[in-house]
Amino acid sequence: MRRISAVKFILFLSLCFVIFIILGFFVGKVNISPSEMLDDRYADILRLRLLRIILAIAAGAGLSLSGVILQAILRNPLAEPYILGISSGSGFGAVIGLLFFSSFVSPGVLAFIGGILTIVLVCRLAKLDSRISPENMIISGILVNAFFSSLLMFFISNASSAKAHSVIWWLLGNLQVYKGMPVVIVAGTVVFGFLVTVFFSKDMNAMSLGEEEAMHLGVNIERVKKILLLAAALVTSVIVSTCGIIGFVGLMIPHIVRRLLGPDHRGLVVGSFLMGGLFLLLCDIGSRLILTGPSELPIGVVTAFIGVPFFVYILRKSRKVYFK
Amino acid sequence: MKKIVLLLTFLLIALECQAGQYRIVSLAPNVTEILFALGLGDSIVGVDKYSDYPEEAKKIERLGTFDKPNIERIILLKPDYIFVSSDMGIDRLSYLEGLGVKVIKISPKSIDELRKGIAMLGIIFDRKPQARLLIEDMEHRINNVSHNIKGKRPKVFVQLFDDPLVTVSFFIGDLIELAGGKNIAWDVKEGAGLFSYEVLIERNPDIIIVCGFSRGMNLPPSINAVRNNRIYKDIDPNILLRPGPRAIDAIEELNRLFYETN
Amino acid sequence: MLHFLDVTSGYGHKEVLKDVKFSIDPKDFIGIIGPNGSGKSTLLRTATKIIKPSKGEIYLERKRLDKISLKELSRSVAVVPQDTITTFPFKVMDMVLMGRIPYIENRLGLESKEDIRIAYESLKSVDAMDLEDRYVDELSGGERQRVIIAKALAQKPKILFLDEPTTHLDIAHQVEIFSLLKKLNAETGLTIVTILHDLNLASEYCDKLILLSEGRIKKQGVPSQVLDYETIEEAYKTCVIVKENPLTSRPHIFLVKK
Repeated sequence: MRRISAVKFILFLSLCFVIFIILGFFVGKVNISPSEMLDDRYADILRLRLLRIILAIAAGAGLSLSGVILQAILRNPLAEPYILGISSGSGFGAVIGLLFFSSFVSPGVLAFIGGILTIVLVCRLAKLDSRISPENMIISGILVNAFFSSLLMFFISNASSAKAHSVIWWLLGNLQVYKGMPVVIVAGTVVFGFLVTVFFSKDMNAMSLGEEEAMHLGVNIERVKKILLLAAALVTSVIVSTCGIIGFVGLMIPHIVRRLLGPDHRGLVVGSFLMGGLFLLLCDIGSRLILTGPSELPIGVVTAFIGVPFFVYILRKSRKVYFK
Repeated sequence: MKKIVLLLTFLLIALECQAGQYRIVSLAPNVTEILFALGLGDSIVGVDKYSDYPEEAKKIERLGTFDKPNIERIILLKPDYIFVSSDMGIDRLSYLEGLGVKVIKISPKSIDELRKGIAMLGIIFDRKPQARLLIEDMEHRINNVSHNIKGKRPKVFVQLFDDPLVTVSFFIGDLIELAGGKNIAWDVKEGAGLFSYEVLIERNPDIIIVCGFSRGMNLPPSINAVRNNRIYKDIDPNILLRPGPRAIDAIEELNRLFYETN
Repeated sequence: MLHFLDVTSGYGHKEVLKDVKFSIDPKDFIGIIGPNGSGKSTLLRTATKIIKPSKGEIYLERKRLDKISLKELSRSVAVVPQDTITTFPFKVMDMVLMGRIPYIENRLGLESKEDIRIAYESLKSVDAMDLEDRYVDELSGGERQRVIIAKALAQKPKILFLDEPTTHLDIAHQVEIFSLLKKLNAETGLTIVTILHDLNLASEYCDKLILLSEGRIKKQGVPSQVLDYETIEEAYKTCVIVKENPLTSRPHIFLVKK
């Protein structure tokens, strides 16, 4: 597969965005004909669709961004937003929130705290002679993940059936929100994370040659790693605490964009950010079309269902090994 | 001395008979309730962890949850019958049936199916009169409630969880209809699941029943239930969601809420 | 230009390099030799600020090394490692342009025309203009090493460090790379410090050798001074015969079968 120019790719994605955002307003459980669109009756429903479009784009973009960061720092093709245990840390926070503090805090807040604490813990465990080694981080991530998963299972299996069910619903998550505030927080954090990451694109290029090589190029890798990891953790935790665990996007999108644009992070970061947003928006629109009736599909089901065939197609088409 | 031993032995045998004619394990709280209502409480040798009604049920040995029961204990208890509310794994099922245990699934989706379940238990355990009495009482009370239904039926939504929005219509949907309401989530597949906000706004419920683990939050202010402040949070979720004899209490309670004048 | 004053350095509490003292002058072509584990790579890491010395001082052009930021250092010192990770298949030109990272000031990381000109120049000076559009992971060992040298040259360094740059190459490519380094040293006055395992390569190409043994400098000086059979036998604990290369009259080491 020939690489394509980053500028053309970004222009193409922007065009797709316009189309799918418009489509996003027209597709939903309630049929609204274009002529009725501006009717007062539907104002509330259109507001919901707007929030949902923003949340889908922000979550998809944020997870892809987080995937790019972690793949660059860990130099591991399997790196994805949840590799360092953020998902189970957040899940555990949410469970504690649901079981013990549900009357004063929303589980999302505790999920967020859980996610951030997990990443701090992983960095602590991975620290070796004042530097954070990527290899240690992966192992620590797996350990912390396993530990929090077991705690999560412990609390779920000991909770009453109603509470246990609630936790599982919460973990599945979806892109439906009623309140505007969570959407604003997610979108704001994702944009902030994006700006930070764009500023460190060239440092990420240097880091993809190895940590010492990056230092030889004048990159203060420990500082850069900390900032980028924090950005990834912040973005991922905020998304998990609002939308639950949406798998696959953060792993797949960076790989696809790397195949299309090449490994240069200056294109990769922007490309993955846009493509991730577009992909999740597409999945959400797809999910609204697939399932008739008043039920909603958990979005994580859809991402894998639509994503895997697409990923396989891209992999087969470019025979080059893109990540050794 | 010999006499005393003999006497004690007889006494023990007598007690054994008293303890119940059957050895039943109930892994479903609703079945536990039905069995107690039929006077079979003392035949139950084991229950699942959620069986909490009536009070006596709490004293019976706990055997875990319906999906992960403590099989070793169940074997030791040598039950004749095991009741479950959902399908047990095929390997477990065939194993227990191999031991000569009858595994019976009772999972009523409606009051009608509940009635059939009670009648079946009456036949199995030779409690036909008790079962008939229980069913007649239920029918009588439902009939009484139906007299109170008048005018337009209110549209009702059951909120099981608020973020994400989850509803349940399994069994409770029937209770709502019998209590004189209209369940707006009648077409939710599998009886429970994520519910669309758009549909919630479109179908515009007059009443919201908050149960399970919901706090009645994140509801659109435009819907009637929110505008008229008709969100009810205080009904015991166990009577609403458990297809047992107390479902009639739930119907009466719902009926009262639907038609209370405020 | 680079001065090590009684430098001790290592990892954690383990001292690998002990009280090392030497100086490198501009335009030097220096070879660092010594058996495995003698501290060659540690010396290179200490000189490039990857690890901090626990004792002693290092001066680069009259400035203490710990006062020089990594970025500043990367504008005067470049490193060619033994092996470069090519996890991500960059294009050759993109790889060489990474040598300009120390000079890019804008946060978006975009190169100026000047940066691109310098990258071309570097690629030309290693004779690899034809590789410009290839992917680094598809190059042969010799081609890849030339590209990595071009990337280092794009940093416009005053000192170029190399860590066994020809380990994986056949003799023809070894000669090619070292002739290239020699040419750069002669034509542009670039100071070159290279770690070497092959004593004969070291003898032929380097003007000065530093022999390390067990973390200390055993001997330093011109090859004919350092490479005598007694010193080598002591450092490497193996028998050798040293003769003179009839063409260059530099010492040549022969192995002795045990």
